[in-house]
Amino acid sequence: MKQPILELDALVKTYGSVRALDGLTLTLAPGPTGLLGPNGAGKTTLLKLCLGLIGPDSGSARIAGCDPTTAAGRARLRRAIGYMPEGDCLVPGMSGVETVAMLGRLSGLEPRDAMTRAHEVLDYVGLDEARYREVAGWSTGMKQRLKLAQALVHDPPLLLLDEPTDGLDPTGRRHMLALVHDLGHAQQKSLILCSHLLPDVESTCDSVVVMSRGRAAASGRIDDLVGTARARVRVEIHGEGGAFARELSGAGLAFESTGPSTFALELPASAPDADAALAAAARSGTRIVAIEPERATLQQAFLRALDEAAAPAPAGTER
Amino acid sequence: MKAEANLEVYRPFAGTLREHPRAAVALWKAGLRVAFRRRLALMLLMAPPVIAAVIFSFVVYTRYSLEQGSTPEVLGGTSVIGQMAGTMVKDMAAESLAVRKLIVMFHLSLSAFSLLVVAWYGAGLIAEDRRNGAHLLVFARPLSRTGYVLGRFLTVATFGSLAAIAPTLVVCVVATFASPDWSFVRLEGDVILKAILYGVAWVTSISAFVLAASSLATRKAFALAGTFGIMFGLGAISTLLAQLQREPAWRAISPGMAWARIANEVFGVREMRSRWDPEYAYLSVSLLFLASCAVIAWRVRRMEAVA
Repeated sequence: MKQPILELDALVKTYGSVRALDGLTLTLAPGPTGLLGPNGAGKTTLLKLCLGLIGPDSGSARIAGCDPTTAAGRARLRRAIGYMPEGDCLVPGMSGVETVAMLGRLSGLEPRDAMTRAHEVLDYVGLDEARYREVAGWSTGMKQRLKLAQALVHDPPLLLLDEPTDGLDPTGRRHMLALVHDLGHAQQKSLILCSHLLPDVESTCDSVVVMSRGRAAASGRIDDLVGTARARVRVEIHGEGGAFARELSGAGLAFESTGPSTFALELPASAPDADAALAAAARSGTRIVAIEPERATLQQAFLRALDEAAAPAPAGTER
Repeated sequence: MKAEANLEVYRPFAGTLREHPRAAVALWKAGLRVAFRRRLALMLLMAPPVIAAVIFSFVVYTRYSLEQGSTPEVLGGTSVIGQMAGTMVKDMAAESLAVRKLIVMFHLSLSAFSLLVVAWYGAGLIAEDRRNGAHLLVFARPLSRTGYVLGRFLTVATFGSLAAIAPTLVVCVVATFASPDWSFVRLEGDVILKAILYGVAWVTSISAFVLAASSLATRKAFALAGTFGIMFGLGAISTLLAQLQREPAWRAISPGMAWARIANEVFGVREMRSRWDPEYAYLSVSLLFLASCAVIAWRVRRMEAVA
């Protein structure tokens, strides 16, 4: 088994009275992983911790085999990580190739290697002649690609990508996702993709971590998480919708009325077939015209994980 | 390995990374490259020290020539303007009996001017890094806060040295070669060493102060305004207090006056010596330097943590 890229054990980080990380325990295998969570879930704190920019109050962490709490560990860690921050960031007054080469030198490349690597990674992300112009005048898409290039310049095994498609038009977004997918799969890079756009994560990552209130609400392979999401079916009936709805409520089923005679029905994990819907139709005197399964999505899995994390813990158990 | 979607080939890096990257040097060179790209500003800011160095070199040369009983040919022009200029330079040279005093005056005037140069090139270094988010990229590297500050400091100190130290050294070199039997080096050679040491101390102190202002400001313009505001504000307050209290030692509050007092003491120019204890001046500049370092440390630590 390959060494995990991230091993966090009971990690706690507080800012004043706010617990940004609340006993976070997490192990991530190499490969592309999406990091999801609502605002304030602790994603940014986790990324900072991964870079060794902040230390935990308690708990232990090993990232890419390095201990981020020691100076030597942090230095090794930052050589092993390429970080693409969110939002605009550029070195004032420098051209694209100078920026990437300079950051490569800061990562430990020799001056000549830094310039060669700068050109290679700028080629890879598709920045051609523009690389010789000052970055301040670039478009958002070009700046995003530059940020990816500087994260790759020292060829790190682990990439932290924070909202890489932020502010991109559809073409730019497709290109960026293709790059991220290529890095995560063809180039065998481990990457942690932090994004609010679930389709981006779904299309580029194999695994996902859903964070909520400083803890990992769910983690695992996307296929497994989506598979365990409650099954949803679209039910179309012939007859009085109100009576059918009353019977569904009476049977304790969660549903949503999507039209006068159509319902989106969430089936319980204990009874994933549509028997309950058929029984409700029979009791209400309506006839079911169609039952179609709705494809479970990462969004459903994400929302379910958040709901479960937000639900009060049963008495006598510790959350 | 060719990727899909029109991607170029990704080439893995086959070399090795340095265990301890020379990050400060990389930042220093990058800072210089950016600064030298703005040629107009560079020309405008560096022209006065260059012109002053040429004029003072000529005055020093003339002074030694007059001492040896000869008048430089260039002062014997036939045009009215040429004769007027020649007379003026001869008068200046004749009045400047001590070359030491001349060099110290030149050095002090350049020190004051170098504040403008240091402020111009230093005010934006940290403030603009933070405003543009460059710190997010920089602190994700194996770079210590000390390395970052050192890189920025070297950039600003280079320009401070070019404006404050280099012209004085040029004048000293001219004096060395113009003086008969190397008399300048033999009799007043300590001026060269003292000018270098004083210049280094001044540039270090003022660079730290400007970087501290830069670390506190959100824009270069604000840092510039803060630097000059504090400098002139302290100057005004010190003068006011000295007048009201009838105690000249209050002038030590002003960094400019404190440094001038230190210069008088270091170079031993008695005519320029002030009437207050130089200990206050040393204390004042030391406190300002320590406060600047503390502010930089605090702000850069914060920059790294929020990166």
